[in-house]
Amino acid sequence: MANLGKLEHHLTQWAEKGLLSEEQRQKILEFEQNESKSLGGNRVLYAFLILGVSIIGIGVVSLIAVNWEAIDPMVKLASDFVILILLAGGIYRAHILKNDVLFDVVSALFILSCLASIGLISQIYHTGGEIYQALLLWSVITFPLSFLSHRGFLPHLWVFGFLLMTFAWAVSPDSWWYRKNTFGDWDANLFPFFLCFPLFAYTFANLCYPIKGMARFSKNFLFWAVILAFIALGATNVYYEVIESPFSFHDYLPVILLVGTSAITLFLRKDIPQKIKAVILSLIATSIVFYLPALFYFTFPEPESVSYEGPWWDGEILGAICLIAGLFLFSIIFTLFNRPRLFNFVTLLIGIRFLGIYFQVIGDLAMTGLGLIISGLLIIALALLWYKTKERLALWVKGVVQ
Amino acid sequence: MVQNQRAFSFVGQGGGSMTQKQFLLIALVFPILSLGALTIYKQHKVSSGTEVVIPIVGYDPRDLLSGHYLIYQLRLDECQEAYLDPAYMCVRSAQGEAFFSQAIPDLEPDDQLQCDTVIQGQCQGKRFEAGIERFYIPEAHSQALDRIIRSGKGKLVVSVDNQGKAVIKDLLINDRPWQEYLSESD
Repeated sequence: MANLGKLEHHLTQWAEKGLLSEEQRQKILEFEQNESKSLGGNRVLYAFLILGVSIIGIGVVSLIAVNWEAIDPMVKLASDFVILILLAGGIYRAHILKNDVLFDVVSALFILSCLASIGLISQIYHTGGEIYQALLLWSVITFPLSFLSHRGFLPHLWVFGFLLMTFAWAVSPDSWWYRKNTFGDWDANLFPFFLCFPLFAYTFANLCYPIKGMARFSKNFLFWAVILAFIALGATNVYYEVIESPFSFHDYLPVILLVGTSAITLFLRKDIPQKIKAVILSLIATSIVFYLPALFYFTFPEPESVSYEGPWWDGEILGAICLIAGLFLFSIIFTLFNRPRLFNFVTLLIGIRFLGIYFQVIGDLAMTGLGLIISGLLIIALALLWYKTKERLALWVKGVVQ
Repeated sequence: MVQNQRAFSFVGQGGGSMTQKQFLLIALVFPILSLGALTIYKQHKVSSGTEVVIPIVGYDPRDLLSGHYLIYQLRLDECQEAYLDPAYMCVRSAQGEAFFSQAIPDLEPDDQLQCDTVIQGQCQGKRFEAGIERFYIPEAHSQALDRIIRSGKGKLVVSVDNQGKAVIKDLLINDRPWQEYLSESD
C-alpha cells in the first residue's frame, strides 16, 4: 500500500473505535511497512530505469534520423542486428535469473530498438509508405514479448504504440476519412475519428479482458479509452464552433459500427453486473445523440462551407451543452465504479465549462470593472458550492442510477 | 512473476505444451527473424530487376522516424485518367536512361509500344507515382541536395521487377552518385 501515513491514521481510528485490537493494528502496520520496503524501493528503481531506457530508445531513433552517410549501410544493418541479438540474450538471461526489473528494462530497450531498426531499414532502402505501416509492423513483431512482461510497462508501451498506429492511419491518405475538403484540398476529416477512437479502445479493452494474461492490456486500453473520450468531448465542443465540413454518412459509419462492437463486447463481459452494463450501454448510445443536430442539419448533396448560425443552433452554446452532458455521463460512470477523485475532477470541469458559457454569453461586459467583480464573486460562489455538495451529488447520482 | 505465471496457464512445464522458456525464445527470435526477412526482401528487390534511370524534380521535408528525405516527382508522362490505382507507365530507355514514357492500361503492354520496362504505380491527379518518390538524405546535406534537385539536375536509379514494382537504388546528380558529387563539390 502506497501511503503508510494515511494507513496508520486509519488504523489508529479503527482501533479507537474498537474495530481492531491493538495487536492487530501493530501486525498490519508491520506487514505493510515490510511490503513498502521491498516494493517501494523497487518501484522507484523500476521507474527510473524505464525512464532511462525510454530516453536511450528515443536517442537511438534520433541517431538513425541523423542518417550518417559516412557509415556503410551494410555495416549499419549488421551492427543493428548484433545489438538486437545481444539485447535478446540479455532478456533471456534476466528470465533465467528471475530478475523482473532487469527483464522489463532490457525488453523495453529491445522493443524500442525494433522500432529503430524499422526506421533504419526504411532509410537504407528508401522505402516509401506511411508511418502507420511501420508502427503496424512494430506492433505485430513486439506483441509476443510485451505479453510476457513481468510488470506493467511493456503492455503500456505496446498499447500506446498500437493506438498511435491507429491515429497515424487515420491521418494518412489510406484513411477511411481521407477526402477533398470544402477548399478543394485533400485531408482527413478527423472529427468522426475522434468519436471512433475511444470506442475503438474500449472495444479492445473488453476483448482483452477475458483472455488469460491480457488483463494488463485490457486495463491500458480502458485507460486510453477514458482519456480519448475526454478528448472527443473537447473536440465536439470545438467542432460545433468551427464547422466547415458537411455531414457525410460515410464518415460516421465507423462510429455506428464501433458503438455496436463496444456494446457486444461489453455484453459478453461476465465480470460486470447486468445493471452496470445497461447503464454503460445507454451512456454509449446516448453519446451519439449529441451528434444528431449534425445529422439533421447537414443534408447538402454537394460539399460547401457552412456554419452554425441562428438563435438556438448557436454553435458555441451547442458545443458547450454537448461537452457538459458528456462530462455528466462520465460522472455517472465514475460514481458507479467508485472513483471519487475522478468524479470530483469531472464535476469541477463541468463547473469550469459553465463559467466558460457565462463568459461567452457576457462577452466584453465581463471585462468591465463591474463585470469582473461579478465574475469573481460567481467563481468563488461556484467553487464553494461545488466543494460543499460534491459528496451529496455523488450519493444522489448513485441513488438515481441504482 | 505470479501474474506472468498465471498468463502461462496454457503453457505446461513440459510434455505436449510449450514451456515458458520456449515461448520466450519464440518471442525473442520472431522480431529479429521478421526484420531480417524484411531486409533480405528489400535487398533482393534492389539487386534483381531491370535498372532504369529516371529524371526527377523535388523538395525536402522531415520524417520523424527516419530523418530527412527528399520528395520529388518523376519526370514521366502524365496520367490519362486522374486518381487511378493501379496505373502503369511504359518506359523506353537508352543506355539504361529513360527517354520516353507513356501511360498504359495494364501490365502487359502492346508490342508496338516496345517498352523496355513497365512501372506500376497510381495516378494522383495527372501525376504518376510509383512509391519511389522519397529518398533519405543526411541532415548535413539536405539543403544543398534540395537546391540541386529543384534545379532539375537529379536522376533516380531504380530497379523494376517483372510485376512492375520499382525500388530505389541510388540518386544521381549530374549523372554521378550524389555522395561523389557532393565530395567533389566540397
